[in-house]
Amino acid sequence: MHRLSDLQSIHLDLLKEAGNIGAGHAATALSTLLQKRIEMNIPSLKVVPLPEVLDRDAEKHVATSYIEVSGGFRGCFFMMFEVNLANKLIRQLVPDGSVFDNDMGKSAFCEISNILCGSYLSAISSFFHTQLNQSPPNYAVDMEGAILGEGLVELSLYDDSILLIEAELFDQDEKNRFTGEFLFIPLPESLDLLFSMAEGKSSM
Amino acid sequence: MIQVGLSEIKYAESPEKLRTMGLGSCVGVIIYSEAGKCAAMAHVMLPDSSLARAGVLQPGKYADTAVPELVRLMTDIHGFSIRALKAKMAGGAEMFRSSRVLPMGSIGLRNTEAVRVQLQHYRIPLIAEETGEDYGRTVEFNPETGLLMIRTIFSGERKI
Repeated sequence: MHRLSDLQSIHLDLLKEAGNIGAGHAATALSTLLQKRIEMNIPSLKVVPLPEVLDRDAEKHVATSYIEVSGGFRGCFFMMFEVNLANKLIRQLVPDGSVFDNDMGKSAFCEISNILCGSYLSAISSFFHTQLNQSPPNYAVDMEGAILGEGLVELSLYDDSILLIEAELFDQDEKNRFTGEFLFIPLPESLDLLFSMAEGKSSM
Repeated sequence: MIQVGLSEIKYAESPEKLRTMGLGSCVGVIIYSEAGKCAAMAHVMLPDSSLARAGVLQPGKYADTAVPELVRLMTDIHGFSIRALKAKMAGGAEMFRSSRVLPMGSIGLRNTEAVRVQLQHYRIPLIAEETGEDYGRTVEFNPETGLLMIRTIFSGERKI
């Protein structure tokens, strides 16, 4: 099994490109849903030591959908939206819905995350020529850190760092404020696929 | 303010304070000396180090290694008598309510139980705790007063 410390720049470039395509597809799907333009920064890819994961704004209030990914890559996918934007999203489908409405609001948010995660993953799966499956979404509304911490439990068994592919989304009306992000965190055991692909490329 | 990240352990003497942000299923455990106005805090993610699938062990990550390390820090390194030590903890929530069957069961509950077992092993009294439920917590420990401040999004702040 490969470890995160084995990653070299060619592997990081491949993953970054995959993350870029995946997040681009998902952001487009989101723009279509909202019928407005959603800006996305160029996704970043980082190996982050666990103690630094929550250096981000851990108390940020977010609505999150957490999806487990299996198949050619195993890992987890988080779709996090600042509560205001999450409410806007929900109201596209359910007028009067909100993140606190555990029935319709929640199902609408989960459905949106299904669509966005689906477009993210299908882009990644065609990039790597591999099959990917997604679990039904798990939903939580609370502090970003608390949600991430629970989602990272399984990953933390493998390594003291995580590989984080992160794309931040901005709503133009909200002027440079964080509005949402996609996080894709592959498990280290999934790296085998990446290594064989990199070798295939370098032997060309 | 000294920040304690995921799986970290940190030590502080008054007037410094210890803070860990965004505890979900993780547990913040503090072992402190009331008279000495000193404390050590761990941000525990998992109950048992035997679950680990790879080397490089951060003792703060697992309950069964974090508590011994906290005790060692307070006694061997900083010279407090183990009989003078007390403990508090917070966290161990279950953030995802959806009918998800976690591969490991409720990790929050298992984390708090594992910390409790370790504290009993060292006969360190657990003076106060706020655990379980389904919301995130940020905690700050003040070694000067021995109080643990808990901050949440939906249910405000309190001190235990």
